[in-house]
Amino acid sequence: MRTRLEQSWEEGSGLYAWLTSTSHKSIAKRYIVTALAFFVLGGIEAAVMRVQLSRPENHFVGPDLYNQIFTVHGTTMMFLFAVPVMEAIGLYMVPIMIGTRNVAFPRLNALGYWMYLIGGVLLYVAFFANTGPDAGWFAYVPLAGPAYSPGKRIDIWAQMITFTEIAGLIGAVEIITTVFKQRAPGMSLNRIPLFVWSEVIMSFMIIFALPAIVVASGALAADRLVDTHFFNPAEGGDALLWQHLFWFFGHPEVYIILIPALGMISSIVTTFTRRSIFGYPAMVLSLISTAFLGFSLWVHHMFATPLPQLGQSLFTAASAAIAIPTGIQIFCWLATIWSGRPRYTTAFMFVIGFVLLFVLGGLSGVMISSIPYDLQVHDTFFVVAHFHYVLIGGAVFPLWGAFYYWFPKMTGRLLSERAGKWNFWLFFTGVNLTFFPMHFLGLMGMPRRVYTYLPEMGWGNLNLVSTIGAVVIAASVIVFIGNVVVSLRGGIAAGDDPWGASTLEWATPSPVPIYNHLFIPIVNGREPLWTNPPGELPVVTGLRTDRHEGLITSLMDAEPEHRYEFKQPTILPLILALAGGGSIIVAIFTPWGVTIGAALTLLILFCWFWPTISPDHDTLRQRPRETR
Amino acid sequence: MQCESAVRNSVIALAIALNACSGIQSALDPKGPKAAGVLHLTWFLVGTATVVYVVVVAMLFYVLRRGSRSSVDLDHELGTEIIEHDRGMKTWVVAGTVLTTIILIGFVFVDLSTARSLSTVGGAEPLRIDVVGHQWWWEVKYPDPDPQNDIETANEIHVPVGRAVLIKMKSGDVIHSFWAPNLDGKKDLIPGHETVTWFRADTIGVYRGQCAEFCGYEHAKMAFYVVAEPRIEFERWLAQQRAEASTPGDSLAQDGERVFLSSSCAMCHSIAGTGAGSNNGPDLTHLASRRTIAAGTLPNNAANLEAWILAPQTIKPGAKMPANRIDPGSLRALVAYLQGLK
Amino acid sequence: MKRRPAFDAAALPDQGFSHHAPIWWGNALMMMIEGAGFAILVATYFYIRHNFDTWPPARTQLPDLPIPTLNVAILVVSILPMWYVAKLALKHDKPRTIGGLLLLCVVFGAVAAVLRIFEFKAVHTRWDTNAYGSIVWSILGIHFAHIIAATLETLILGILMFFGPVEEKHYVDITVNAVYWYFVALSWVGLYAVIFLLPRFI
Repeated sequence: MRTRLEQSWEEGSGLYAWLTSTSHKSIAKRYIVTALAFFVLGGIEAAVMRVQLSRPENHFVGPDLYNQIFTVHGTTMMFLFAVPVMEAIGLYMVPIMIGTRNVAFPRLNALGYWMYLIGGVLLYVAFFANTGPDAGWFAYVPLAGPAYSPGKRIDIWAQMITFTEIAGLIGAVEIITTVFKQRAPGMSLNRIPLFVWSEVIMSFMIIFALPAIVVASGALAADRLVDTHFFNPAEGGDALLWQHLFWFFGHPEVYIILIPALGMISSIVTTFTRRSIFGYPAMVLSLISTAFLGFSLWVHHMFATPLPQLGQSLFTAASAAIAIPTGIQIFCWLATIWSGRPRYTTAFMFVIGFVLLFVLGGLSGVMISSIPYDLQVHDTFFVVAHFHYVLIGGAVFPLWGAFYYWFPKMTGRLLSERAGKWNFWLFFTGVNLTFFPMHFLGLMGMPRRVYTYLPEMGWGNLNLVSTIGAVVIAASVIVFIGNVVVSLRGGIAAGDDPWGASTLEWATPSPVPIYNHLFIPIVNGREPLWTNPPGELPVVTGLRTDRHEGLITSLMDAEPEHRYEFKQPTILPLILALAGGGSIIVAIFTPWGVTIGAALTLLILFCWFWPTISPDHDTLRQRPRETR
Repeated sequence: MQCESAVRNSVIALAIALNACSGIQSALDPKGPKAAGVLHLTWFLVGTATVVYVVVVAMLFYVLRRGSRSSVDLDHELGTEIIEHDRGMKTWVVAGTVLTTIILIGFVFVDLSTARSLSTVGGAEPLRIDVVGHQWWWEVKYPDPDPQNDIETANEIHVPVGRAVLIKMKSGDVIHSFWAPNLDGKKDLIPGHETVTWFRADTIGVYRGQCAEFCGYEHAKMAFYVVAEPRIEFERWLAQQRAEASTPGDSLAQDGERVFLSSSCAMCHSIAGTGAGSNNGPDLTHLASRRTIAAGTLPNNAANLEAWILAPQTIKPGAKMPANRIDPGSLRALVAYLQGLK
Repeated sequence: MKRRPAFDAAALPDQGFSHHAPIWWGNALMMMIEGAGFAILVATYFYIRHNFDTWPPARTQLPDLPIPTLNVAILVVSILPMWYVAKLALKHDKPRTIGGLLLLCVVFGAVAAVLRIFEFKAVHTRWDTNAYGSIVWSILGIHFAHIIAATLETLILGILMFFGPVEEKHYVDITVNAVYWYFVALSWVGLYAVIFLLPRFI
């Protein structure tokens, strides 16, 4: 059985196999490695900024380069690191955790990665050619418009958005469809692991938030390239329209990043306290409320604009309210720990770090939901402190915990716990050293996005402390990379289930075979590996091994419905990405890119959708039950 | 409240240690009622947030300790049932949620009442000022019912102490933000919109403000000063600003005036009473009465003026003012002329 | 890990229709994405409205009604053959019949696409005239892309019905394609109302 599965799923090695792969793990691994590479690049940009700001009137970099650097830093971290990595961990782990063999649309998944890669490369090629965008990651108009940002810098930014948003939307479609229709029999909605819930909820947020930035960046590109007037006040356009469109996406974006991290925390807490998370329904509902509320906050980025006060006040209330579901999550985790026995693995340490950092950031967030207070600290380093605490504390720390937790599953080897503790403490110390002083700097009058400041402002000392903190963070990242490199070769062998965990991914060998589970498991509780007799699992038999076959189950109760064929490896996703991506890039320089590109794209889509003929194609004889 | 002042005192101690409390551009050193109101709110927010944080962290360490000492034999226990039926646990979680909600409602209530109390323009007939934001300087006008009395200056605002000031703002290019933290929170200047803000300075002094919305290359060097002075001195300043440019005192300054009018300076800068009337750049009629040049970048003195005129791009790269090829003699004359424009 | 066989999937069918099929969900999610995009465009339309004293802006005629109304009618009517095709596909009717009907749907789509070109003229403004022109052309243009894509997909399926070996899953694809067509047609009803009717009232 195993050999038959291996033979039919085997993709081979070599460049062509790599380029044509439709394995969700292979694609997700690429996403993760690429996202981490962007994280390092973004970190280097941060380091340069910190060096420049460490002393007043410093001359490490001049204004033009500094402005590109802070723009590319924000753009990289938000678009090229945070969302892709959160989706990628999902694309890797979710199919295994729900007991299926691949995501619903394997070729589409591959397309998503290539689009993401092309977009990121586009940005960095431009940046290294001194044509990097320089109007901030938020690209406010009219500064980012045709009149005040001549040249191609912002066009490149706007088109890069197109790539990353397509990839993001593709990932969301994959996750939702896969979780809705491919769960192991018996995994009803109330038995889905909380991490899987968080990925689904994140994906729905992506579905509704990303169209806003697609429209916004499209309108910006149009204003710049073909003279539309969306943001031109002289012809009825509006600079504030950009802000509404951008932040309608931008605020949900941070919850898109946060919510999967909250799911990771649940997985880690369950395993390392050996307790099922307390209050499962409350946990799911609070994730869903956070997602909904996340769409109602965007104006809090616009308190200094001339919007009516009464309207703005509603956003104060909503921005404060969103702390409630997150609070519920934290209380439930605390309850879980209380009645379990914590094991202080590195992953669990990152959970503790998460609580300490994220709650602090959340509280500074509640502070700035207050309009009068915000009007003093908006666009100052206080806000920089706030969002780094919630993003690093709330998303990066859980992510690092997830790395330590799932690395053995992905690679078959454990990361060094000793190096892990160094990683954690350096990171935790560094984050506090870097960002805590910034709360004061903001109140002391230091605005954001300034490449230098005068000595008499008195900001020099705190900035220096902050830069030292950045060095400590860099050290922790180096420790992490070293840990990964060394453990990949010589780490302790992990086995199927080194942690004694409860969810399905630990029921299969490490590293995970290409077909995930030998037999599709059947589930009878939330923690299947704890509720079945140890070492025993009921499974599904009867799926074909001569083609890539999986099981489709019903939405609510995961009852088996029919069999499903996953698409096999093909070069089409790469070709479509190159053609479609190429035309998007060419469109920066000439409108013909759109027409020629559209034609080329359609041609490739034609090949893509040309229905494939199965080897045994007279399945017409086999009529399905008419399922309604 | 005792807690509040305890927090406040410890933060103040820390701040003094960090040299934070007094500052000419600091929200922690209010010089007017709006900034003072926000600072009160700040202490409330910081105080409550600190208490909440300490409680949450304490809870975390408590449960970690309790869990570590748990005598439950977990290897042989199933994880789910015990917690599902633990009523006590549920009560705690619900209590925590309710408490969180109450605190947040309290926050929002205090926020909204603070906002309301700060929104009514305090005091009688406010002084009217118009500000137009440019890349990277502030155009300041004092409109008067009689247009003859209109004043135009740049990067420096004078206000009488104790009187409300109402500022109407526009942008000449991109979004800027007007922010003098000692006096008030910020307000954006948005092309296509007119925005309004007000403040009142209650203490004599000079306060620094800075553009707080990224506006391009030299966003970092777009500062302005607010000079709050007694009413009599303010009236004197107004009268001085209303006058036309002083005629050059000596021959050096006269040469300087000639240099100004015959070179490219006059293409961007206006000096009332001469032929120069362009407003691409700041009005220079009373340049010598200002404390700084280049929007707060350099103190206003002869040496800095010479350096700025000769090579603005080395001081503020990207500034719209080009380098000027001018021989040292003419430069000295020009600066002498400009320094006479009080 | 000991595995206890507890369910035999061999007897399960190869395909499922409607919401039982993953492709149906892929399509549903795509409609949500594009629907969200349309909603944002409509919101932008109303936002821009506030920046003008009159609507359409001064010196711009009201959009014509004849051809646009004809086109929205054609799109709505085109739902009927598409619905019938889907019904036949569910019953696994003869491929040639289905193929023929699909080609009829393609004709509807092609006509709608051609008429759309005239609709660009019917709004009496250009994309670069002012913000009104920009948003109106954007809505027209993006929906135009939808008509083209959906018509081409229908064409592919139609051709397949005539030439290829026809399989079960192609019938599923046809029903899902029909749902997408309903989306393209019905979304235009709302967008038509915004572009062509609303300026007469607001």
